[in-house]
Order: sequence, then C-alpha cells, then structure tokens
Amino acid sequence: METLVQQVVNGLAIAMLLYIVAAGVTLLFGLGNVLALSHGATFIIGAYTGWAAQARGVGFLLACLAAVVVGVSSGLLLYGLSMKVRSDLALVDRGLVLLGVGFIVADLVVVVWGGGIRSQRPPPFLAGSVEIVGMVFPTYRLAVAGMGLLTALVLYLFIQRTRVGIILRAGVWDADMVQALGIRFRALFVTVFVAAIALSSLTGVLASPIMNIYPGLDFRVLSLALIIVIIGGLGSLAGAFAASILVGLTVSLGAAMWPAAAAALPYAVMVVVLTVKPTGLAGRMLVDA
Amino acid sequence: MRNQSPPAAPDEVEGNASVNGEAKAVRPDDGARTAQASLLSTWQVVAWVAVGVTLVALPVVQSGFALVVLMKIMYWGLFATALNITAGYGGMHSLGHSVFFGAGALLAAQSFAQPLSVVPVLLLAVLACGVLGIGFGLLSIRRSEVYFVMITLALAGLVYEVGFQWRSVTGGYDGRFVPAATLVPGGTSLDRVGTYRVLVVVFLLSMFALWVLMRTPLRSVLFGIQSSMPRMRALGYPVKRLQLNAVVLSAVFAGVAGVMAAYGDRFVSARFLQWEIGALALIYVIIGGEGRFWGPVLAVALFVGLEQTTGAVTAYWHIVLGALMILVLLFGRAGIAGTATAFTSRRLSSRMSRRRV
Repeated sequence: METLVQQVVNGLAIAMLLYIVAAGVTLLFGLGNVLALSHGATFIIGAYTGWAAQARGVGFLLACLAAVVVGVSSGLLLYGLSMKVRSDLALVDRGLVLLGVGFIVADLVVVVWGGGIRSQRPPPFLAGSVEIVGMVFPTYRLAVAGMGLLTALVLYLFIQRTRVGIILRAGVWDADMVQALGIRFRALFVTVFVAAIALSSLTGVLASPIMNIYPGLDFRVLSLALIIVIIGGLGSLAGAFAASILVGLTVSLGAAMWPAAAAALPYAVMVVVLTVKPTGLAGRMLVDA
Repeated sequence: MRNQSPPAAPDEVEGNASVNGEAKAVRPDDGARTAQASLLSTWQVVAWVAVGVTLVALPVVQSGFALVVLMKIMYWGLFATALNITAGYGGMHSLGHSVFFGAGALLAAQSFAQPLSVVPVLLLAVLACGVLGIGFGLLSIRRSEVYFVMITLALAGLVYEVGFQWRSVTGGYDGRFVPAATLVPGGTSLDRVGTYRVLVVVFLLSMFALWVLMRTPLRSVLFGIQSSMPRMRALGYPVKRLQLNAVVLSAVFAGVAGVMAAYGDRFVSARFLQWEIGALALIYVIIGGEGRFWGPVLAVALFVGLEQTTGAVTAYWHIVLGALMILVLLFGRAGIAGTATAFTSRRLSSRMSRRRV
C-alpha cells in the first residue's frame, strides 16, 4: 500500500513537471500557431546547465536562476529565428526551424557535456524524506508535486481571472480579432513565448534530481509533452493538466509494475485516445488546413 | 494569411489549376498527356541504362572504400527520395519515417528458420512497411498537418521504445550483425562487390519506379493537395485516400532503403529506429529541395560523400546539417536542386502562392 502511494506521489511529481512543459507547447500553439518542437531541447539545456552549475558548487537556487537566464536567451533567439527573420514563414516551416534547433541541440549536448548519464542529488534543504500518516515520502518529490500543483493553480487563476488572461484566452480563440480591437497582442505573445521557453529550461533543472540527465532525454520529454498535448487537445490547458496527470501516473506506476512496457505505455494511451476521440479530451475543433 | 512558395517546375506545363486561380475539371487519367508529350523517351531510358551499367561495372576500377561510400549514398538517397514523396510532393512532413527504414533494416537482419535470400527479404519488407504505412497513415492523416507532424514524431518514439526493449529482434542499443545477402536461398554469401551490385540494381529499380510515378498525374495531384485541399475536394479527388497512398508508397520504399542499409553496413541496432534518422532524412530532403525529384539524392551524395571522405565527426556534422536546414527554410526553399534549376533555366521560377484556409 505504501509503495503504491509513493508511486502515485512520484507520478504526480513527474506529471507536474511534464505539465509545465506541455502547457508551454499547447499555449504557444493556441496563441501563435507555433509548433514548439524545440521544447525538449530547451529542457535538456536547462538540465545540463543546472547540473554543470551545481557540479561547480553553485547552489540550487542560483543554478535555477542560471537555467532561467539561459532559457530567456534561447527564447529570444528562437523567437527571432522562427518569427522575425521571415515573418511570412508558413506554420509548418516555423515548426521545422524549431525542429532543426532541436536536432542541433541533441548533438550539441553530446559535444559539450559528453554522452554519459548524469545524476543530480536534490538540494540540501529539500533532501531526505518526510513521514506523513505513517508513510515515508522523498521530500523533493513531494515538494515538486506540491509546487507543480501550485503553479497549475496560479496559471489557472491567471488565465481565468486577470485581464491579461482574458486577452490570452481571446487570442487563442481569434488572434486577429484581438489585434483588431487595438490590443498589443504581439508584445504579449513575445512575452509568453520567451516565458514558456524559460519555464521549460527551469523545469529541466527541477527535474534533474528525479530524472537522470542523458543525451536522449530531450526527445523523451518532447514526445511525452506532445503526447500530453495530443491527449489533452491542442490549445487546452485544462486538457493538458488532466492528460499530464494521466501520463505521469502511467510512467510512474508502469515503471513499477511493468518495467519492460513502461516506456511504451504513454504512447499506447495516446493511440487509444486518438482512435476514440481525435480532438483530444478537451481540444477545440481545428479546421483542416 | 500565411503564404508559402513550394517549388515550381519551370520546364513543364502544369495541367492543374493554380496559374490563373480557376479550377479546371481535369480527369485524373488525362493529366499525363497534357503535362508532357510522353512518360518516357528513348533517350531517358538510354540514360538510365547507361548509369546502371556504369555503376555495376565500377568495382572493376574502384576499390572497396568507394563502394562503401556509394552504398551509403544509395540507401540514404532512396530513403530521402521516398520521404520526399510525402514531405516534398505531399506537403506532409513526416518525422516518423525512421519506423519504416528501421523495420526494413531489422527484417533483413533476422535469421529465419529457413535462410532467406535478397528477393524474399525485399518482398517481406515491402509487405511489412505497407501494412505499417497504412496504420501510420490512418492514425496521423486525420486532422491538420500540425497534428500529422506531432503524431508521426510520437509514433516514431513509440516504435523506438518497443524496438529498444525487443532485444531479440533488434539487439537493443548495441545492435547485432546482419548475415550477408544471398541471391538464392541457402546459397553462397555475397562479398562486398556482389552486395554492391545487388544494391545498385535495387536502388536503380526503386528510383526508376519512383521517377516514373512522379512523371504521372500523381505528382500534380499531390502538389494540388498541398496547394489547396478544399479545391481538390471540390474537384472530386478523394484527398484523404490519396494522402494515405502517398504515405504507404513512401513507407514501402523507405523500407527497401532500410534493407539496403542492413546488407550494406552488415550491422543494425535499435538506433535505426531513432527519430534522428528520420529527421536526418528530412534534412536531406529540405536541403536538396522539397518536391524536386533529384534534390534529396544530390544532397545525400554531397553530404554523405563529404562526411565519409573527410572523416568528419558525426556530432559536429549533424550540427552543420541542422543549421543548413534552418538556413534553407528561412531563405527560400529552393534547396540544391531548386537553385540548380533556376540557374540553368535563367529565369525566375513562377511562385505558386499557397494559402492555408
């Protein structure tokens, strides 16, 4: 029983980390029709940056800050590449540019940091374990799960209750009309773009005590995020939240109960959802191109 | 509105509707005669045969290393050309073609109860990739191209995870050796020269088949679907079925390329199923020129040739290729073949504007 609850907490921690990445992907697509195929790359760059910083004795929080700085710079660079250099670039081409960046980064991390697996210990103030109702949980995973839920809540309130949130929701629905109403949507979009990328880098640092860092991690995280986005529905944050809980629990419980198939299980769930409900759990209807 | 300029063909009269924006009711089977005088001229057949004879006779004058490089160029070239069918002609940028390439390669690597020679292995690969292609296509063609890209990526990941675990078939990450090709079941194993010649035949036959197909109305139809799906539907074309056909066609030839790779390199591993393989093929397609038949092969010949002869370190090389793809995407999508065509014909290619409704 205790193992089951521990696996559930572990799954929730993974789910929350994946949610932040997937939320970025789905939001960027909803707002600007950008297919963020570079999110795995920015995730792994953040993870390696944080690991390299902590390996040199830098504290955890400063390492997080370093990852955010790297994320913001990457975000600006990626925005410039995909949106500004050729402003008339077709949607898929923008996605392919970002994919190219992802492809480059996949080899870049091997060149810079080598091909081995890196592991990272949790920071001292979150290390160890706590005991709740007689069951023992690793402190760090509890903290990540809790922080993730808090982030999701803050994001929800932001989107639903603030003026900026209303503009974002309207932008997902019809970006042209929002601009026609005189709202400076472009500036807002750039901010969201850069913030999403910086968040994915930060998530990389936060995830490193839970997941080992290795050269294929960027693709694994990207494909899990895409699975979440597909299951939850493109453009829907609530769908992404539900889907990430589903995927996180699948990954964690699957690893415990059926290790050989664990890696393939999230994909199988995606295939099932695709055949039954192609728009995803809560997706808006997309018009065929 | 997001506009796009796909490659045009200045040296052929297009039988379809895009030039003046009106839809002409073209029946699918008279497009070939409208588009050009004949499907195949005597000179072209002579050229194909001449190239074939030259390649087959090459081992007489060239050493083993040149043959190895040529074999790599041939299977990557076929793989990229097959991908071009969906990505360049069809406008569906599949990130999952590593599935078919890997399936073909792994099939050739299996030791069956009765040893199979080259032809049965090829037939098996065609069948397997055809079935895989149908499944793949049915899942991914459903909605817009954005979904297509995401789903093909995820499906590639799925197949990789399965292949990674299925060590008895794939040898996992470490891989396994491939038994040498034989012409007759249970016959003598071919040496490198023999394998090379077999690969040349397979390569030329496959490329010829694709080349002929891309001189039929299929080419115009695929460009039409890429240009405006609603218009094609209004003309009565079964758009989804045609897209599925394109996916299956390219899947089959990607599988054949995989078989070639296995026999040529004598080694396979789960790495053949990694998304980087499919992404690399897509990079060759884009750098070579999407929608232009010889583009991918030119890009492969240039870059694989350079990589092999300079001994460039693979990781750095991939970084260069990725950067080149980004540059091609950002600064006009003509690619190598497109630039060559524009250069030789000395006039600007007509730009078909593509609007996404």
